[in-house]
Amino acid sequence: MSTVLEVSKLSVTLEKGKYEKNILDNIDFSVHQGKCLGILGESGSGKSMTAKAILGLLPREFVVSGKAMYQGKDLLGQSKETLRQMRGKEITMVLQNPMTCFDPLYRVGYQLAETMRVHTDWSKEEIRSRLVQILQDMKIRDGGEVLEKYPHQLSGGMLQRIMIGLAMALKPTLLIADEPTTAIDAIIQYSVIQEFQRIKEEHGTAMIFISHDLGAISCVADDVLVLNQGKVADMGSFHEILHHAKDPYTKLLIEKRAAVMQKYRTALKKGGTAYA
Amino acid sequence: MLKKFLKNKVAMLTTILIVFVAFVGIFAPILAPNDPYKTDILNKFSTFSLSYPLGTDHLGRCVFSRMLYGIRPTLGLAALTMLGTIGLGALMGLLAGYFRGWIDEIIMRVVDVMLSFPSQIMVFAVVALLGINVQNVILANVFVKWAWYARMIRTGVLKYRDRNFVLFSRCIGNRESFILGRHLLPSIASEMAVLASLDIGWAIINISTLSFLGLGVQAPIPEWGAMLNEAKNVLTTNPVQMLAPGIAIVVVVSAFHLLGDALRDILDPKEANL
Amino acid sequence: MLELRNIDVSFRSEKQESIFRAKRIQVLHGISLEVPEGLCLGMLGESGSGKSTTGRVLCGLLKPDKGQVLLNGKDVYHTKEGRKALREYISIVFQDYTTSANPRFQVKDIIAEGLQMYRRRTGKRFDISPEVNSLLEQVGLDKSFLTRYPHELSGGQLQRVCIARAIGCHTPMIVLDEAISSLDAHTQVQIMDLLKELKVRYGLTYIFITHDLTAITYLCDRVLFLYQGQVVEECCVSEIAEVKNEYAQKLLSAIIDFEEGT
Repeated sequence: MSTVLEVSKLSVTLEKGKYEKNILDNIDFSVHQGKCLGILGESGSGKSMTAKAILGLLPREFVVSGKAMYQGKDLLGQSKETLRQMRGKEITMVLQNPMTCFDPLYRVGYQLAETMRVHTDWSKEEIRSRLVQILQDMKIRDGGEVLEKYPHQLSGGMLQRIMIGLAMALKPTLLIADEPTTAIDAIIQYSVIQEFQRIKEEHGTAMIFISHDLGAISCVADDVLVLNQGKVADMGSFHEILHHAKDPYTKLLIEKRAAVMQKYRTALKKGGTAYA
Repeated sequence: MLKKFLKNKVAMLTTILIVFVAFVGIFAPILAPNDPYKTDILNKFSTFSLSYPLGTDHLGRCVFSRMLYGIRPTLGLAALTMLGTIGLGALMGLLAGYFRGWIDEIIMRVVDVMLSFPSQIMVFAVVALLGINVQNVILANVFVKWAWYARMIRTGVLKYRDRNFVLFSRCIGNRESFILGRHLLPSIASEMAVLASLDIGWAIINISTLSFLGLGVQAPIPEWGAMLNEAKNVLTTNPVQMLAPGIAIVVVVSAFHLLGDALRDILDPKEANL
Repeated sequence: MLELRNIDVSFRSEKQESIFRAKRIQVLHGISLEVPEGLCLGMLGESGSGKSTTGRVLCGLLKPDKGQVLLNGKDVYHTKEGRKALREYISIVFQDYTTSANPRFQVKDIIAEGLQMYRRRTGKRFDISPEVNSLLEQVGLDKSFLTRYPHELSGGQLQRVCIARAIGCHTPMIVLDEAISSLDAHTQVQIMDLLKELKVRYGLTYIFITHDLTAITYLCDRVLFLYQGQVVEECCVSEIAEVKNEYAQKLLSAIIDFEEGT
């Protein structure tokens, strides 16, 4: 089980003229092949920043320091061109709001084909057949028809699955998912989470799953990194975080959510037969 | 917001310039070295001197004094026009945008009609119909331009009327005057300020154009556009006579445009408050 | 008691299919529900189920095409006294806190709006400022927040201010339209605890609209399942395991219990 990504002392500072703000402070973590690292934190904790910093997607005002070793190379020191070639092919990202990830003016199939055209030299027909195959893998029926549709004609859940399919299309080594389940409905959320589990098991892709939802992380992540205001609050396996969290912030978070789940369980059982 | 305004160099400089020009115009009788109406034919086209800083025009009048006195009609009429257009346009826009329904339909159809006339021709037509004097110039401009403002402001109102804070006020039954006056008007005020400062340049040029064509301010009242008109015949013999008002118009209108641009940056809530 | 009877709501479709007739999309189909005083009713539905639309109809902000909204027997949309009565009966906290407060108002003005309505309505004489301070304290914020602007507050803090504003109206019922959905996981729980406390203190009735079933089981007494504009199931929260409707059952199975198996 090799280490795919090793991040050490990652720091991000926002510098605008004389104004300076520390966004991330000395973050360390590593991601292994076939395993998923969950990054848990609330908005403003810096979890999205972490992913964007590693991939070189932050604007100039953000100064990034530290190391992010990917297959022997430090991502933070790479040129824009090298990073661009890696993104989409070796390291891919699934973003939060699937509705806003697609250009509303072009058909979905055209946009998906664009990514493939950039990174491979496959022919048009081959790209199309691969896309249909990807959609099938994501359990989307009538892949051919879906490809002809515009983003606004598809639901959030479907778009998100298409995004995941696209992210997996080029068989990346590392998949980063930034709050992929937040903007979609509960029932679809569940199937999207199952997709991630399947990807992890079948393809052995290393994953980083960023979320503020304990439920989603519990299903997908093997190790969890808890971020609070740009600093590492806790790190360990999910079980460790759940029961033996060291940081008071983490403990508070777990306690609160546990109280809600407890009430839910009580409600289920009160009805007589506990719902399986 | 005031702090942001003070920090923005462009805004500060242009505002200072405009205020300065306005002051000079108001205090023109004190500041002008000569009587702008006094003619001295024998002294025409004289060069720069202490008593005539910019020389004299074709009738021997002091160009500089005429420039200073000319600020009054140029800026003053423009300001009055703006007040009229924005006042009427904002009222119509607010009513149409907030109440929707048949009020909206009627007002917007009137706006559509007004906007389909070529504005410049309309202004000429109104002035020609009502007679050539200053009030009619203002009336003509207001008559033509209010529709544009009404539409812009209506768009702004539509954007804000379904915001949650307006919905809350409606839900608990707050008075319409509160919603219009304290929620909607301030929300569109920043957009209006930007539109207005950009548009005042138009108003100045319009008044000057009318005067240039002889339809606005009548001779011998000094007004920059009218001065341009008088100077066009003597462009080669006394270029200063045309350059002075011409450059003045360019400078003042540019100042307003730059101010409008800077205002947009200042009033944009998305600018990070650092 | 507030009642909805056979409410139908439709909106004009964006697509223009024929030149003169605008196509309408029906969003709510025959919604009926009763909200007795003191209840916390949860309305559960996914995006597109019509729950926000129902919230608007309840608040008097959206007139239904068919059906009646009755407050203690008086029709809210067709009688003047009904409309007036509703305005004095209900207030609302929205999901999107970023647009819930006038960005030009300070916190003290935001909360004062509710209190001013209360004062005007009842004719009682009292000073606004001490009441604002008291409300602010009750929602867990200190006096330093009084002069702050909405953009200077975090989501949780701004939502607390909106709750203080709604309480300040002193209306018996508050509609919470996905009020906690945009907040972070642990802030959500804190706000729910606050809502519970306020309900007991003021004897309020809540209509809690959300897509999160666990929030409903935490806070509410009864739950209504909305699917594609129809009420598909209604029951007590304690009887949730016995839902018969297929969609409701699917929702239940989609809940992830993170403590399972650990």
